[in-house]
Amino acid sequence: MKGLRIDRVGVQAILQDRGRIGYARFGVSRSGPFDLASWSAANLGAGNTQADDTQTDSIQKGNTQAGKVQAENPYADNIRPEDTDNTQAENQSPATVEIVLGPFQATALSTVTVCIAGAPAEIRAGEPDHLLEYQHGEPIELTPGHQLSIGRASQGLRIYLAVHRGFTAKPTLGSASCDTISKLGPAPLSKGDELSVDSAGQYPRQLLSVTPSLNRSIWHQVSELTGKAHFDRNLPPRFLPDPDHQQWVVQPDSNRAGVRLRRPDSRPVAGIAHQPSTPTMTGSLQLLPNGDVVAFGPDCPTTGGYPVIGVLDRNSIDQLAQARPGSGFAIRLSNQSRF
Amino acid sequence: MSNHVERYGDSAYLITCDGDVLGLLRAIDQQIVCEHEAHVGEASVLLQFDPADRAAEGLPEQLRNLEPVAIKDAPEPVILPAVYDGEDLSEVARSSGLSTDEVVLLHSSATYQVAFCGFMPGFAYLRGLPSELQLPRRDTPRPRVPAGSIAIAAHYCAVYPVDSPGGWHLLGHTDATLFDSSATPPALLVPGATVRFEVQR
Repeated sequence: MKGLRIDRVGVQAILQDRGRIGYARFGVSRSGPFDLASWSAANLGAGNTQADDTQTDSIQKGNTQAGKVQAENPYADNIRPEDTDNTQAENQSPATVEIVLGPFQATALSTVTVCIAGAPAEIRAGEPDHLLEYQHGEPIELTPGHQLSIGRASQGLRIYLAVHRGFTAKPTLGSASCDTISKLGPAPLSKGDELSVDSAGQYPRQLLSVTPSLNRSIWHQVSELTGKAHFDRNLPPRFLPDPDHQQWVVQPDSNRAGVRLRRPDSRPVAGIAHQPSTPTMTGSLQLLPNGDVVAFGPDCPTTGGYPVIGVLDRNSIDQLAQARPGSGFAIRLSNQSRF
Repeated sequence: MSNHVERYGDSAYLITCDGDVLGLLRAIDQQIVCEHEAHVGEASVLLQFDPADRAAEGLPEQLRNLEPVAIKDAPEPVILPAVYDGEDLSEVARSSGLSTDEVVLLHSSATYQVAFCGFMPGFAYLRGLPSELQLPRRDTPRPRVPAGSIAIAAHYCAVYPVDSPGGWHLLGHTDATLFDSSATPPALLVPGATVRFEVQR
């Protein structure tokens, strides 16, 4: 069933479910959302409580950003798994639109419930001549002809648009995620594309009325984004960042394969060529000969030939996903560095 | 002798062993029961797990004590039909002090093994390249290397699954499909597989 027609995509808009898990040994990246916490928040708001078992589990423990908001939410108990349909295909997580920067605009072709989270941006929806303002994390019911308009992000970089039960997309290797580097999965969205939804995509109205905004507080007003990493203590000390100088600047040649970070006092590092290729993953911090560090994103290669000096924690990858070129990104040693 | 296990972020471990990395991967596939995904590089295995899974708590200990599992029966080699018409064939011959015929003979007589995949889906790093053919990669990478190109650099041989930029020396090409997302497994050359090139005239 037709769900949304895309009228404007911004810098880039791509579909992302949880990603292509299980194919790394064949050289296939996981892909999936760059900012997993915001992706999860958008899906929770759209009533996709089965979006991900891991996330659900973490949320119950209240140890993710989304989890904290959920735990503080007085209505949280009203959303029980049995209230929502469980017919979503097993092992398939909801395909969600990841929008870089915006502005993004779409028209509803059927009745759908959507929810937006991630980088702060103005959200308006309704009759084209009578648009109403909505909050991040708030479920929005659109009926045919309604317009959805997301402005340019005022901070951060990535905005997530989830729909109840996910957009319909043909999976490649079990996932409807767009791998922007390897060109697996659905192509990036362009103006005029029509995104389908499951015919049961309409969110139960009585549930809609009790589903509160989930993540107004997810976006932390920060001047400096901070990541935590485990550094490899087996590497020669000259490879490791000076603990007093861990303020990095995000470079413009950054994408979903990797975010290039440079220190104001960066200088070439001798002797880092000819490293044996190591297996890599999202969050790997690879040191380049010129002193830059590439923080790997979801579409990163599965192995790398430069030394991996550390690995960002999952929450830090979410922060990295929102770091605009030119902004600072601090990397600190994770307190979990020993086990 | 135990393996070296390093924390790799909050949801992975990097396991390094002195010997058989592919054997270690086999051991992980057979013996690690909690939800995980493992993939190999040249000398290490990366194991990603779900930090919310209680069963993952014993992983460091289990991984330290894993013994590599040797393969029982060597698999049939994958035969790749090869046309040795690569742009760098004469240059490789010159650099290695051989004739182009000798380069072709050396390259097509060797048996290779997939050490690991990386760079792009289905790109397999093949070890077993004769030492005479081991050259550093090209000074200037090509912006486009055609799909199917058989290429060498350092101690590896590889076949490009799709058109891509590349800095390896091109010896020839094959018509084999290296990556097909609808196939199981999607890669023709999987870690541990043996590979031979068969000269096509």
